[in-house]
Formats: sequence, C-alpha cells, structure tokens
Amino acid sequence: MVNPMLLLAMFLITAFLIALLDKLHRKISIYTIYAVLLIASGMGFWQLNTLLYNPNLSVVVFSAGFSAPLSISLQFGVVEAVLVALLNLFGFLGASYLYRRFLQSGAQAIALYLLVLLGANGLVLTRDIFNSFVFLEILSIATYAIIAVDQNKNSLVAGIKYMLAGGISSTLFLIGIVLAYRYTGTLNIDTWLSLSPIKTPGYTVALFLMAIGVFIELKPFPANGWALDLYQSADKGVASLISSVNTAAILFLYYKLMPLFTPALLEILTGAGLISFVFGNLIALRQKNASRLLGYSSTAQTGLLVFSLGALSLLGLPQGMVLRIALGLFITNLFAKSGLFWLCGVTKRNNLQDWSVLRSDSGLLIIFGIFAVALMGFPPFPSFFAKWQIIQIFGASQAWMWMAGLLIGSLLEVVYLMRWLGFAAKGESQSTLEKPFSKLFPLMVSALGLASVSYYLTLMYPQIGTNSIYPIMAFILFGLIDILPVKLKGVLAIAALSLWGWFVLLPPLPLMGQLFALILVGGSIVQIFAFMRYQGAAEGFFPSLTMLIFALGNIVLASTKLQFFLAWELMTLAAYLLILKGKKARVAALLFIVFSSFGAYLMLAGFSMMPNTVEGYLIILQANFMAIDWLPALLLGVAFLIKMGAVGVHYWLPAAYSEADDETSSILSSVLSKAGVFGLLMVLILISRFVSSSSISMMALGWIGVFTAFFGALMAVFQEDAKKLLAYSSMSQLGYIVVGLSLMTHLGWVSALYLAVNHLFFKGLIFMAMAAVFLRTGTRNMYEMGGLIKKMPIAFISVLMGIIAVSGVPPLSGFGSKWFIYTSLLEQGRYLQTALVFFSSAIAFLYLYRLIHTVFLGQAKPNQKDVKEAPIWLIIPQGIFIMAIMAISVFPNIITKPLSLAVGDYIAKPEWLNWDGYNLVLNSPTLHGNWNGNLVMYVTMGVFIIPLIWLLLVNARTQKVKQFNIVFAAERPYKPWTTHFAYNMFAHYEKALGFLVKPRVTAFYKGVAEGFHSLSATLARIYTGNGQTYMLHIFLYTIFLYLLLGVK
Amino acid sequence: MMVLICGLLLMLIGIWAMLIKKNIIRIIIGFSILDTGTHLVIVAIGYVKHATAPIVDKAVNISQNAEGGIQVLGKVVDPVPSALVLTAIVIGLAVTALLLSFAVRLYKVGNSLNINDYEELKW
Amino acid sequence: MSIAFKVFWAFISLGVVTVWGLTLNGMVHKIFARVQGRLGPPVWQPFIDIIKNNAKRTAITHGIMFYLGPVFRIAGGIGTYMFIPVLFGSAYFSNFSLSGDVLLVMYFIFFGQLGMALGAGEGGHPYSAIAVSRGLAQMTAFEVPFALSVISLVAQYGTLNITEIVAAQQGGFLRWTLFTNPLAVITAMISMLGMNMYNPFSVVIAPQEIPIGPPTEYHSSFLGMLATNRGIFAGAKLVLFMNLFFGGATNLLILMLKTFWIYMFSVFVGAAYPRFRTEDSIRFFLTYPTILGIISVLLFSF
Repeated sequence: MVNPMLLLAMFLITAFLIALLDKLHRKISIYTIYAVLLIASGMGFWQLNTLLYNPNLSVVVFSAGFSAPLSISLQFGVVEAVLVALLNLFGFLGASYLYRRFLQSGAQAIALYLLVLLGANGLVLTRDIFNSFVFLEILSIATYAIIAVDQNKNSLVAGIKYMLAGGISSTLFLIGIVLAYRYTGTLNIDTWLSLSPIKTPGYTVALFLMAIGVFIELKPFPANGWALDLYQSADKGVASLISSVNTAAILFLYYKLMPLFTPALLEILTGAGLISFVFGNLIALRQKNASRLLGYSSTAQTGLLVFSLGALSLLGLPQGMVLRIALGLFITNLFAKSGLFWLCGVTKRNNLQDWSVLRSDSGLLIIFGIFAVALMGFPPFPSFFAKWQIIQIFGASQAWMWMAGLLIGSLLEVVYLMRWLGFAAKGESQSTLEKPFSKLFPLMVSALGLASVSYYLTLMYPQIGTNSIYPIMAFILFGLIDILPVKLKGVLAIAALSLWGWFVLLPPLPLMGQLFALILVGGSIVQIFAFMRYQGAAEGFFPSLTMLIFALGNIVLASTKLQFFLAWELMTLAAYLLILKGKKARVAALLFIVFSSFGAYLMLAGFSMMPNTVEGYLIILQANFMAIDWLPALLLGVAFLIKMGAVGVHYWLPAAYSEADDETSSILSSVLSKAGVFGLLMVLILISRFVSSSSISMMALGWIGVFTAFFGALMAVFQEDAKKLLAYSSMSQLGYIVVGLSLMTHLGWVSALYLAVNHLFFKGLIFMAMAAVFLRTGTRNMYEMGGLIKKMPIAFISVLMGIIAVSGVPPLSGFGSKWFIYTSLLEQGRYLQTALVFFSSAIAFLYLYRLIHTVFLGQAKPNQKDVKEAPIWLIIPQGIFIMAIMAISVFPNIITKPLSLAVGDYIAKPEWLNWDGYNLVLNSPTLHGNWNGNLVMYVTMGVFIIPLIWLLLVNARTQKVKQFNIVFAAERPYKPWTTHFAYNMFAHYEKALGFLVKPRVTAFYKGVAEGFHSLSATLARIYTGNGQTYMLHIFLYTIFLYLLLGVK
Repeated sequence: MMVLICGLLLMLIGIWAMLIKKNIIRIIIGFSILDTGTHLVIVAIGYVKHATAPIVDKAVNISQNAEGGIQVLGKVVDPVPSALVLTAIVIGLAVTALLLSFAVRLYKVGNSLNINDYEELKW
Repeated sequence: MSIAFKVFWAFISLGVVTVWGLTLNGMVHKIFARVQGRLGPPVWQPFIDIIKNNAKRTAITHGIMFYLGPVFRIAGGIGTYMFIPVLFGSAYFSNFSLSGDVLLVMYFIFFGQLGMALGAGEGGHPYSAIAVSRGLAQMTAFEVPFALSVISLVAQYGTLNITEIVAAQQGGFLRWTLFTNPLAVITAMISMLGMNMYNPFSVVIAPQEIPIGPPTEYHSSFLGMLATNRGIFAGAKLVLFMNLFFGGATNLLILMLKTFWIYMFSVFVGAAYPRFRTEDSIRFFLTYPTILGIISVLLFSF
C-alpha cells in the first residue's frame, strides 16, 4: 500500500522546490509538476489496483505515531484512491492546458497550482475534521491566489467576491467544528461516526453549521452568485480547475460528513441540491455567454451530485451502490465539464452563436459533441446509467417529487446544451482557430478517456448483453473508416447489417418481433442505397446511420427495460445526428431532440414504475405475461406517441422531417416512426388485461389517433413545401395506426400493422422519388416545379404508385389498409371515429393530388428543362418498394396472414375472420364484409385494359403537341408561371376549413418556451453582480435553511 | 461568558460592516472583525470555568500514575480549541492579506474601491 | 358459374347500364332545357355525340398520362359498376360484387377521378387543375355525410355487404332504408347532389360558362370515352343508391324506375337552385347533412 503521507509530502516539497527549479529553467519547473501530478495520479491507480487484489488491506494511516483520536488519520481506501487518481489526472491535464500561462507567470502560479492540488488531495484523504478545515483553506487560498494570475478587472472582482463568500462559509464551518468538538470531545470523523447519535440541539446546530459551511462552498442556488462570476471571468484553465478538482474535493468532504447529519438536515440539503440542479439549469436556459452558461451548468451538476448522494442515502441504499451511482455522474461531469471549460479557452468565443468556429474543425466539434452529449446523460456515457439507476430507485421507492425534479432539470439541460451544440455544428463561420498543442492535448485525452470509460462501462454493465454494444461499435468503426468512398461504406453497411439481421436479429424473435425487425431494420437497409448517391466520402452519415439501424434492431431485441431504453436513446441520438446533417436543420434538430428527450424521460419514469423484466427473455414475449399499472402505461404511451408525432406533441415532426437531408427524412418517416408503433403496441400488450376497445382510455387513444390523422391531413393540404406536406402526411398516417391499435382487437391490430408495413413502403417510395426531384430541381417548393413527368418519368411512376397506395384507391395495397381500418372500427361500433377517419382519408386526396400535379404535371418551367432522371442509387430503393407494393397488392395474403398470426400470439383470431382463398371474409355478429384483393386486381386490370385497347384502336395516331398547346380566353399563354395552377392551390379549402389549422400548437409551445425563458431571465436577476448582495444571499440562505431545520 | 458575548457581538458587527459598507477596504475590515469575533467565540466555547491554562506547571495539580504517565487532577482549559484558534488566526490573516492585495490591484485597474462600481458580471 | 360466363354476363349488364345511363343523361338535358325555356337536344343526343367523337380522325395528346386519363376514368366507371350487384337474387346481374363490399365501391369511385385528374393535369390547362382542386375539395366535403349514412346503414344492418343490405330491405316497401332509416337516406341524398355536380354544387364544371373541368382539353375519341363513362358512372351510382336506400331491384324494369326517380331528385334540385361557391358548398356539406348523418348514426348505435 502507498502511504498517503508521501503524497502530501511530495506536493509540499515540490511546491517549495519550484521556486528554486524555476530559477534554473522555467520548463524544468513545469515538467516537474507534470511529473508530480502524474506520479500522484499513478499512486491513486496503484492503490486502487492493490485494493482490488487485497480488499481487506488496512487503509487508514495515522500521523505522528499515535492512533486516532489522538492523531490525525488519513484514509486511502477505494473511493479515495479513485478520487486521488482522477483528481491528479485532471490536475495534470489542467496543468498542461495552462502550459503557456505557466511559461509567462512562472514559479508563483506553478506553486499555487500545486497547492490547490495539495489541498484537494488532503481534503480527500483526511479523516480529521479540523484537518479538513485546514486543507479546505489551503485549497481555497491557493485558488484565490491563482485567480489573480489573470489580472483583469473582472477576475479580480470575482476573486474578491469568491474570497468573501469563502470566508463566510469557512467561518460557519469553523464554528460548527468547535461546537461539535465541544459535544464529542474529538475531531476525528470516524470517532464521531462510532458515537451513538447525540440528540442535543446544540450538536444539531453544530452539524448544521459544518454542513452549511461546506454546502455553500458547493455553490447552491441561489447563494452562488460569486461562483458564477468566477466561472465567467477566470482563466478557463482555472475555471476548469475549480469546477472539477476543487468542487470534487469539497463534495467528497460533504460526503464524508453526510453520515453524521440528522435525517431532517440531510433532507433539507438534498432538497437544496435538487433545487440547485433544477434552477441552475433553468437559468442557464437563456445564457448567451458560454463560460457563464458553463458556470450555471456546473453549479447544477454539483447540485445533482449532492442531491443524488443525499437522496439515495435517505432511501437507505447501501453505500457501495450510492457511491457507484454518484461516481457515474461524477466522472461524466469531471471529464465533460473540465473539457468544456478548456474548449471555451480554445475557441475564445463567449457568445454561444460564435461557436460556429468549430464547424470548420470537425475534430474539435466531435470532442464538443462528446462532452455535451455525455453531460446530458445520453448513452453510452456513465451519467446515462447513473440516471437510469436513480430513476429506477426513485420509482421503486415512490419518490415522485425527486424524480420529477431530476427529470425536469435534465430536460432543461438538454435544451441549452443541444442548442449550443446546434450553434457549433450548424452556424456560419469561416475563421480558424489557434490550437496550441498544450491546450488540445487535455481536450483529446479527456474526450478519449470519457469515450473509452463509457465504452467499457457499457461492455461490462450487467444486464445489457453484447447486442447493446453493436450500435456503439458501429458508430466507432464507421467513424474510423469515414474517409472511405461512400459507395464502399454503403456496401459494407448493407452487408454488416444484413448479416447481423439475418443471423442474430431474426432467429430469436417471435413472429411479431420478426415483423418489426423487418420493418425497422429491413426497411432501413433498403434505404441505405439512397445514401450511396453522394460523391466522395460524404462524411458524417454512416456512423450515425449504422448506429441508428443497429439500435432499431435492439429495440425489438430487448429483453430488459434497460436494454430497451439504451437502444431507444441510442436511436434518438443517432437520429438527432442525422437530422443535424441537414443544411438548415439547426432548429429542427433541436426540436427533435428536446421532444424526444421529453418522451425519453417520461419513458424513464414509466419504466421505473414497471416491474422488472427477466434478462434473456424478450420483452415482447414477456409482455404477454406481465401487467403494468395505468400510470406507467400512460407515461410510456405518451412517450411513444411523441415519437409517432401524435397531435399536440407533433410540433417537432414537420420541422425535423422537412429540414433533414432527404434520405434521412425518408428513414425518419418510413422507419423511425414505427419504433413508436412498436413501443405503443408493447404498452398495449402490457395493459391488455385491463382494457378493451370500449374502455375510456382506449376510446381516448382512438380519438387521439383520429385527430392526429385528421389534423395531419388537413395541415398537409396547405403546405407549399413538398417535404412539409409529406411530413404532415406521415403524421396523418401514423394517426390511423394509433386508431387501429386503440381497438385492442385482433382485427384492429392487424389493420394497424398492415398500415405500418404499407406506410413503410409507400412513404419510403414517395420520399425517395421526391428526394430525386429535390436533388435535380434544387427546390422543395412545389409551385416552383411542374411538368417534370417528361424529365423524370421514373420518379413520376413512383410517386403515382405511392399516392395511389396512400390514398387507398384500389387495386393497390392502400385499399387494404382502408378496408382494415374501417371494418375494424365499425366492427367495434366506433362509428363517429370511422366517419372522421373517412373524412381524413378524403382530405388526403387533396394533398396527394397537389403533390403529383404541381410537381409532375401542368406546365414545365424553363429553368428546369435540363433536369435529368435521378441517380441509380435513389432508384434502387424505389424499385424495391414498388415491387413490394405490387406483391402485397396482387397477393394480399402474403402479408395479411402472417400479420394475423403475429397478432394471434397476443389476441386470438376470432372465428368469424377467415380467408377463403384470397377472399378475406368477415362475419362478425356486428359486421359482415369481405375483400378479395386478388380479384379486385384482376378486375381492375380487365376494366383498364379493355378501354385502353379500344382507345389504341380508334385513336392510334395521335399527334404529340408541345407545351402551351392549349387555348383559353381567346389567348395563348406563354408563361408557365402564370399558367401552372399550383400556388395556394386549395385557397377555397382554406377559406372553409382553414380556421381549424391555425397554428395553435405552435403558439402553445412558443408560449411555453417563452415562459421558461422569461422565468429564467427573471430568476437570473437575483445575480445582480454586487458582491454584497451575494453575501446577503449567503446569509439569508443559511438563515432560511436553519429555519427550515427548525432547531431551537 | 463575557468573551462569548463579545465574540458574537463582534461577529454581528463584522457582518453588518460586510453587508452595509460600500468601500471594499471597509468590507475587508468587516471580514476581519467577523474573523476575530469567530476566534473569540471558539476560545469561549473551549473555556472551562475556574480552570487554568493547559500547561503542565505548578498551577496545575498533577500526579504521576503507576506507569509513569502524567495525570491531571485539577481543572484545565481544553487545549484543542485554543490550538485551533491559532491555526484559524493564521488562515484568517492569510485571507485578509490576500483580500487586501486584491483590493489594491483592483483599485489600480478600476480606480475605485466602491463595490457598487464592479457589477459588470451579472445575470 | 364459370369465370367466362361471369365475364359474359358482366358485359351484358354493362351494356344495359351504359344504354340506360346515357338515356337518363339525355332526359336530364331535355328536362334542364325545358326548365330554362329551351327546346333542348333530343334524348338520344348523348349516343350521337359518342359516335361522332369516336369517328373524329384527328387527335392530339399532351403525353402518356393525358392519353391514359380517359382510360382511367372509364375504368373507374366500369370498375365501380362491376363491384355492385345490380339485380337482387339474380346470378346473371351480380357482376363481380364478390370482390368486396360497399367500402370497395366507395373507394373505387376515386380510381377514375384520380386518373382523370392526373390526365387532365398533364394537359397543362389551368382550368382543368382549378376544376380538379374544386372538385376534390367538394368531394372531401360530401363524402362526410355520405360516409355517415353508410355508417348508419352498418349500424342498422350490421353488414357492409351490398347484397345483404338489399336482402334486409326485402318484403314490402316499408322495409326500405328510406322508411326504416330516413335520416340516413336524406343525408345520402344531399351528398348525392354533390356527387352529381348539378346546381347548387356545379362550380366544379361550371357548365354554363367557359368550359372548365377536367375534360377541358379532351376531344375526339377521348371525349367519346368520357361521355360513355358519364352514362356508366351515373348508372353505377344510381344502382348503388338504389341498393343501399331504396330496396334494390329484382328486375330491370324496377331498376329503371327507381334509378330514374333517384336521379330526378338531383335534377329537380339542380334545375331549381343557384350555385354555391366552393367554400360555401364545403361549409354546407359539413354542417346540416353532417349533423343529420351524425344523428342517424347515433340513433342506430344505441
């Protein structure tokens, strides 16, 4: 075992020696402290290693040859070892960031830096309370002094504020210590712990004073104005030091004291931590200054750690577990937050919008992305697992308020971090950055470190299984080969995914699972071809794309809640990254991720209230034997409805679908929304024992679906942008699926699944064809096109097939979906819903006609006379989809029978539903009907071909005429712009029904956003910038907490 | 008891000065007073009535026990708080000195010692 | 019945309905003319027009879709008719109604309309597209009451099968839907006014003014085909209404009688009323008939 005394001694001696070494050469002193910090970190790792093999080793060391309480004892256990290793590692990285500053400032700065680390290490190691005070002061004074290295006005002011605040808190801490000493007669924390609890009020007050002294150093809202100013003004290296090393050490002191606290005190401080988390993130919402935003985020994260430690301990969890969870949060915050501060220093941009400088530097952008995404708690980063665990525990112990607070805070965090990331990824900037190696090095190390820690954590995490790692592996591998030509990557991706799908994914799945696997993974693989249309490497698509597809497969393959949620979050993240690739997708991607995160948090809450699933046995199989309560069902249901874009929560959908790249839109619409369908179906299976078609809940769900279908269709009618039109159309189609699912009958579910399959085919088809059109014409406004049928006949045929299938006109497969949905609704007596569904389907004709007419028919525009047919890569998926549509149209049994079998595993096929050859006969007591898709196809062919032959016979020699060979109002038009009837095509419809689609939902969400930002701005006003006000805050905060504690 | 009351009074005066006075030097003085008050309070907490200083000399009634160790029979003041105060004084001194040096620097940059003149960082 | 036999009888029945539909159209023209104080064309004028148009030697085309438009249109008309059983209890006049139920018929109506709209669209004449946009808008509106009345029938009879619906109305005229579910019939008849595009819902084709509507650019045998379809399609719709609401027919005579009077309803209304604008007709269909339809559905769902 390493003697921790050596560690402290080493720091002290070096700090003194630095002055001498610096005289020899500046670089010698700098490299000396690098060595010292690395050795210290190594000692931590060495101790950790020793303890792993020798868990029973004595870890307490006494000073001066006495044992405690007579001497000061140091403890170097596992936790301390981890902290020592990490803190010194970050000390080293921070020091290397500060290399240039050290070169300028010389010995003082270097020695002070070492003293900060000395204080931090001492604080971690010591078990003596007064010794803690001393180390705390060493830490603080060294920090105060090092701030002054950067001698500008702001940092000096911030330093004074910091010192006054620190002075007050250490005064409180000191009085607390002496008072506690009076009651216990010792200063050793371990002895305090071994004493039976002292109930006198005086002791409680002593504990309170100690606690509050430490707590204020942890920058709780609202007594943290000083800290924010400090983060904003200090050198970024110093700010990073304070937010990581400094905070970590003090936090550990707080953790050491925590067992002493009375439950009431712990509850108050825990609550204060949560408030700090929520409000820190809330105020960060409107921050435009990057460093200050990081300050708010940092205080919020500290609050989260305090909260998690307290809450989990209050719930009586074993300390090992509490520590593990907290460590997950801590490590993420340590890596990410210090990294972000360093990045601030590298970009030297304070305004968030100016972070677009990163755009030209994909390496830094990736590093930034890793930090931001990790901080938000996305997988595979440790904070994801920590948050998962915390929420699960809160759910199990019914700590709803805590859960709500945590989730709200996390959502706010997602908003501002993602907005920031969006600025960086999508802004406009040409300027380049100065990137000294000394500053890049710590960034790279911490990003790589965080990524590898996360990777191994995911790999080792129990109950995850090897499958869950594939999306991440795919992301990394395709990231590494991203410089290869896109065609090669496409082939590789298709091969890898097909092999995985065929040999790993499909075999263990039941029929229902296979169906969704085919929709989700198969549907995506087909669309990979479209990405191969790009020239060169087309970097950035394939890592996210493959991650997305693997994650989609994993959703179906999940056997535990964690696996499901992990895959779900990876899918969301991948989709976000894909959407962000779109040229103007900044806002759209932000909306997507915020809504998705909102959904994900609801899902998280829902999962926490759901019984555990058995590992290794697919959820969709288990669902049949499980049951969940209404609340988790509601939460999960809403989460999945968000993904499907149900009316009211569809706000993100048109933006994301239209602003993403065309291939991405296609996948989003045709495949990704089906993940929501799968989820919703799972929830319905879970509650199938309690609800039936006539339950109020299912009626309500049905109405949600119907209104989604209706409003989606109606909004699609009024769009000029073809992609927006298709987006709303998708929303509408998903509405039908929701209605079908809400029926809770065999027929209803078959119709929903039939729609899902069909929607994949026709929406993929139309999107691909339209992608070709957008590519060739360079616009998405339909009125700017026209007459493209002659230039792009294949696209026209695809869109034609697509719209016939969407509208439900026989003989194509679309009619099947209409027939299924109407009969299943009528069979259950849902007459009014049927009527509204009918109306929505009729409205679909309006936007479908508009799509095909204004783009392909009518008058061609002269500027599009050289438009060519789409590249082959876009035609391949179209061909596959057309073949699929034709197959299920001519032979509907190949799809309807398997669907019925798949649904039959959950809801038995009623006897009155039968296949007589191709004739699907429905003989229920409430409804008779039939549909023979095969015969319809032949009859249609017959009635089409006979007149065609007739026309060819009597009218074989028609003369082909040129454009404008039309006459009206005694004139011959010559301008296609005035002749092509396209813009505002349904003006009359808008006059009649436009009032229904006034942007109410938009107004609502704008209002919510506005409200939060105003609240954020108002709250931020408490930070007046006046040092005295900040002190007043601290005093009032202390008094308030004291009153809350209520000790007399 | 007097010491305790004095200490608390000093603390209040210090806090008052820190919160009311606008001049940074005065605020620092307030801080110093607060610090001193704290030290008095600590000493007062450790004080035992009618006891002597914890120094082994004639004033303390001591006896040798069997093993040769020293046993204190009379009342002595708890030495630990006094020892703590020594440390605390040193620390307080350091902080005060640092504060003052900051104030001087600040005056050089900002030409003012009024704390209200330094509110650029806010919100 | 062998498939060849079935096809044969389907042709016979198609011929019957074509002739009867065209005759009806001729009568309608005559009636309108008399109401407006004109002499009017002879009743057989539609036949003459068709023969004349088919005999035209010159024809122009704007493209493949333009060429196929009329084919789609007539296929829609014939197909719709093919999926409706014409005479109740007759094996010869049941067409291919086994293929599906009333939903199939309702959706197959769109087949011709969609194809026609596309063909007209390729013609590039703005009036075609304007008319299509009006027609589609109006169609979405009148489909709502029509769907409600069909739903009401489903609630009443528990079936979507047209033959079964007719069977349920057998046994005296009091068992016709007209008398058992009058609200649904009123609703359906109002929406039929929209379907037939006579006044007050004639803004789609605006027959009295400049030629507007999908057929604007069509001529010669294209127009002949469209005119033929007018007969078939009118016949098909009438037969459908007769089956759903007026007890069906067991022989051709009754069929002619009933369809004539059903048709006359919209003709009389059309001759008597002025014209709605598109948005007004949308509002109209979505208010009174829709409310009637909802009431009729609610009456039968409890």
